[in-house]
This record gives sequence, C-alpha cells and structure tokens, in this order.
Amino acid sequence: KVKLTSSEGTEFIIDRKVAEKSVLLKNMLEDVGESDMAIPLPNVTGPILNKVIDYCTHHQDDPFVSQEDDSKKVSDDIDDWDAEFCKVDQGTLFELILSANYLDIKPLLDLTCKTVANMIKGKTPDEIRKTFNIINDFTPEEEEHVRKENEWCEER
Amino acid sequence: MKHFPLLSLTPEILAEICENLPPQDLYTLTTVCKKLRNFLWATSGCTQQIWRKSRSLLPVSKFSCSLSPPKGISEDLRNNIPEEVLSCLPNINDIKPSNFFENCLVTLPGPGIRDQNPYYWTTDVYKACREYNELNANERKKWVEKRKAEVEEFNRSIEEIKSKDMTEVLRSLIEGFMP
Repeated sequence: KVKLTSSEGTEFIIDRKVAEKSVLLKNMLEDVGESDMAIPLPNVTGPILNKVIDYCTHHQDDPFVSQEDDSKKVSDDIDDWDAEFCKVDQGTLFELILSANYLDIKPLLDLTCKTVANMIKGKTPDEIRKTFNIINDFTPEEEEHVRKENEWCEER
Repeated sequence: MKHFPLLSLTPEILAEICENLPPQDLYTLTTVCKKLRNFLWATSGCTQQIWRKSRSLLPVSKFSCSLSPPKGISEDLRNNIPEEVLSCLPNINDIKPSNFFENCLVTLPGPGIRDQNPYYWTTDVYKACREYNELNANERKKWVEKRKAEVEEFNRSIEEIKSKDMTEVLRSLIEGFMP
C-alpha cells in the first residue's frame, strides 16, 4: 500500500500497483523502498487526485506503453469508460492534464489531450475562441491576410 | 462557465493536443490568435513534429505517412498543394539520386501514388501554386489542361532521349560542337 497526500493534506491510501501507473511515483517508490511515509503531492488537489486514482485503478492491468511507441495512439479511439471519465467540466479537464503531466501518466495525458483536441475538431475560428475564451488579437488587416492565406484549405 | 485555459498550457502539452488534430483543424487554429499562429508556424522541431503527426492522421491515399519534414518548401504550402496542380507538374525521379540537386528538389505525395513519392523541382511547385491560386475555377480547368499537355510533351522528350543509344546522343552532341 502507498500513502499519498493531496495539496490540502487529504490522505489517500492506494495499492502500489495503482500508484505505479505514475512514472513519477514508480521512480520515487523504487528509490525509497517500503515506507509508511505519505508522499506529498502539493500540485494535486484532493478531487483531482481522486479522479486520477479512479483512472489508474481502472487501467491498472493495462500493458505499459513506452513513450516512443505512439504509432498506436493515432488510430485508437476513446473507449466508453474513458469517454465517461472525461465528461467533466473544463476546469477539471485542465487540472487533469496538468496532473497527468506532473505525475507522468502517459495514457491519461493522451486521453485528456485527445479530449481537448475533440473540442477543437471541426470548429470555426470563432467557435474555438468562444470555447476557450480566446481573444482575437489580429487587426482587421492581419485577419484579412490570414484569411487569404488559408483560403485553399477552406475551399475543400 | 469556467473556460479551459488553452493558452496557459506549456508548449509540450499544447503539442500533445495538436498532434491529435488533422491539418485542417491545425489551420483553423493558426487563425484563432497570434499566440497559436506563432506556435504552429514556428520552424522548431516541435512544430514540425506536430504537422508530421497531423498529416499521418489523413487517409493514406491523400498524404503518405512516411513524408519527411519539409525541405526547401514551407510547411504551410506543403499541406496545401491541390492534387490537380501536382498532377500537371513534371516529376523528375531520374535526377533524384544525385545529391547535387537535393536543395532544388522536393518530394511530395503525387496523386494516386502510394509508396513512392515523386520528386519535383521546388521552384516548379511554387510557381504552379502561385499561378493556380490566382485563377478562378473556370480558368483553372484550362490551365490544368494546358499544363498536362506540356508535361506529356516533356515526358515524351525524356523518353526519346532515354531510348536512344547513349553513344548516339554523345555523337550528336559532339557533332554539334564540331566546326
């Protein structure tokens, strides 16, 4: 068993196997060995850590995919459980990405990034700005220029 | 509603997201704001990797997955060459093995070709795209016909030279220089 504490100090006790889905924790555990000490995760809040643990528990038996082996990443679609897992508000999704990155859980990072990509796909520039609250900082002249440059692909 | 702070992500994470997008959506992103535009039009290895992965999401028939990063041609143009234009450019695979021409040549997925991407003169590609994009749909049709005829002519003369015995070609060349 492994003890983790979130940024607010909430303690989580999980199986070592689950914790090892995180490369960061895996390396830590290998360095420290068996210990009763809780590992502090000051960058991760309780609710997010809870989600991350859910994910790692569900996927604990998945084979480890190495960083370089991303040929698979392109083709595979998001399965039902993962899709359901990602049905969260945008703030949570953002926190999940940061935590997956920090804890080095590649499949979770892939999943959450794919989810964000799906929020972009097929949208117009304006719709993307609205979705992500981005301000259009092009001047009218620049916008005209940009529009012209992209004309070819818009015709298709 | 809380928005997803896309622009506050690190370049590495932004790249992870972009790698899941086909070129069309990457293009849309370049028109959203300056930050995304600069990010996706940079010449860094990271940006090139994004476009390379993005292209690999396309069906194979359109753009081959094995495309190398751009050489002598900019990423934005490479992704936007109409197939019609490529179909009426002379490809010059015969010259390719010579490294001497490396900087003047570009390999692009030709129409209807799967594994073997033909080589073109970079300047040909630029010029043709420029011409093509200045025309309206009607003029384009004529332009393509005209160019195709020219390419056929070009290919025919190449074949002619190839079919002739080499010594004969040399003799005719030398004779041309004789007083």
